[in-house]
Amino acid sequence: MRLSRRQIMRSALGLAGASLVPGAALAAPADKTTVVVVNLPGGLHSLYAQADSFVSKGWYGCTGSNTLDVGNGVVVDSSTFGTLGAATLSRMCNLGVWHGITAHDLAQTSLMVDPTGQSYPLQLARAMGSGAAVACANLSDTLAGRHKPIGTTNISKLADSGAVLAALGVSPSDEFTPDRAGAMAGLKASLRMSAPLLAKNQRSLESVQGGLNGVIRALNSPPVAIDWPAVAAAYGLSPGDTLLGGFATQFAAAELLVQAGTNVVLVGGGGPSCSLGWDTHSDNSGECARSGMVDIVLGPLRTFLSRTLAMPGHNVITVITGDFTRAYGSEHAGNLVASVWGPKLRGGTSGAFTPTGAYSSYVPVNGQTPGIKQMWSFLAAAAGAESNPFGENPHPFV
Amino acid sequence: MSPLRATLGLLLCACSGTIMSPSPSVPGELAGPGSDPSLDTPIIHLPAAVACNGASVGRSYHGFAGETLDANRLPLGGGQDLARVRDGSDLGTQFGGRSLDLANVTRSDAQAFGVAPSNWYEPAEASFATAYRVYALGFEGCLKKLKNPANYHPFGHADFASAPTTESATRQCQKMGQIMWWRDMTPEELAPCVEYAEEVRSLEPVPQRQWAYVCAAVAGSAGFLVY
Repeated sequence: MRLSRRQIMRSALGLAGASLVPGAALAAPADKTTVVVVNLPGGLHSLYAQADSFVSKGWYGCTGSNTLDVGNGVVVDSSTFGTLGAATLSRMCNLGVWHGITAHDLAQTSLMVDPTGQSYPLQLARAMGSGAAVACANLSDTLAGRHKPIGTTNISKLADSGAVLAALGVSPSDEFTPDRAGAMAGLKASLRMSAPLLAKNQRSLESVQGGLNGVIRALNSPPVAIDWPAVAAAYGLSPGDTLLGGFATQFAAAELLVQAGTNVVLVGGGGPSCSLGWDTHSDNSGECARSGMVDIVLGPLRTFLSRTLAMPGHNVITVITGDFTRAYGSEHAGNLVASVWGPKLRGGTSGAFTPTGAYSSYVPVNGQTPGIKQMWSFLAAAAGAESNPFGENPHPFV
Repeated sequence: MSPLRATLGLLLCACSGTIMSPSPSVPGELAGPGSDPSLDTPIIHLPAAVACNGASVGRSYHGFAGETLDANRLPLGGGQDLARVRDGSDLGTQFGGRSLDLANVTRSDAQAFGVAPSNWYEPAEASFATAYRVYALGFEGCLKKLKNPANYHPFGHADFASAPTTESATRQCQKMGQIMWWRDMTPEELAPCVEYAEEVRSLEPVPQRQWAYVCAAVAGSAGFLVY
């Protein structure tokens, strides 16, 4: 859905009008928490976030002069994460994730689906509470694994911010637009009319059931006041750029969903032209990994982090993950360093890994092996989830 | 135990169980198993192999990394889970041609609903946003048709000149189903449509808009969204 200039102006005027109405409050309550998971399929090189581990060996071009000590034991690569800004870097922590997996598909699936087949993001979204109109949204085309709904908590696969804006009540209306009360009653009728088909196709039509339930929840919530033209501009987009693709469009849409109070948002994809996805083999200098991060992710990520870390009334936690980091020769390592940013987090490194050759070693955290489940446990703890479905969080930054 | 039973037992063991983390096997600078407790950590529990047609024993397949290639398979009953979500190109055809003659189903709409690239097929998925967009497009298309009696085609009935009644709603819901779903509604599907047509009278005063809401609800249903 592309928005015309006229529609955008009317949207902005409607927003200005809404701000003058007493009680026309933002839908998101105070300190609404959203966890944003940024996933790089192919791998997440730890030279960005934990450059110091490579300096003594001189791997990937890491030296004392191109790394930046940001305090709290965090030393980042100057040309990539080092450009995120002091305020953002002070709220960054690194989690060691020792999963022992060196195969791409298995690593991607294991990061997102637990050993019993339950979706990690959906478990987290459910633990964060049921008040959100949209519990979990996927903006990427690269989510691995099957994410079976948990109760009524499902993943909404989104491809167009315009459709999101319309469903959230942000888009301008005209005589051919249904009003929200009529639409909500109508879609409830649609759901009842759909019941026989949905009952007979519980798995193949689970996204239809989740979509109808989700839109009814969204229409039952107050319209969200979002200045979409301003959000788009912050990411270098025109307001009509609503189809999701690269990281700029995904992070702009993620910001919409943050303001709408979404619990979990999944972002990801891409990869530098010098490699297949983020699988930067033979990149002994680290230049391919650096150029990919700079050219593809870093600009929108920097914008998103700086805006959401300073967003009043919101606790936005952003984590960046990938299959694994790189061992000697830029081969697959069996572990990962996931970086997390949040306005209430303390900086630091936990479960740091040590490159030792073709494989790596790790530093235990509170006597535990820090694994994938512990990463999700940390995110649940940082999100202040009512219960932590992933067990005790060993990482000490909350 | 007979050799045959022992062999069958081994084969079955190979088809189910637990994949362990890979152990480093290269000496030297590597973290050895003794220093790494995670090497004994199970990372994936394989489900029992899925069987076909009620057979008691199924067969499981593993990838090069030891992952279960059939982990997502579920035993399904006959005739279950055959329906699929229409993708963007199909919905565009439905809206633009056969049903509602909507001119504003754009290329980006089609992409928003998912369009399968050439030589590949990724099943389309619905979401809260696409559900709303289909409903809103349905409302727009229906209202544009019903605002002018000369344009009552494809619905073609003077019922739209006045508010829905039980009789007219029964007649028109069925007709809308035939046009947009390509089939008759079942009694279980028809009843909520008629109920909503009666409910909408209290939500909207203008008859044509009342009918447009009913029409949009039919468009927003699984009968239209799936094939």
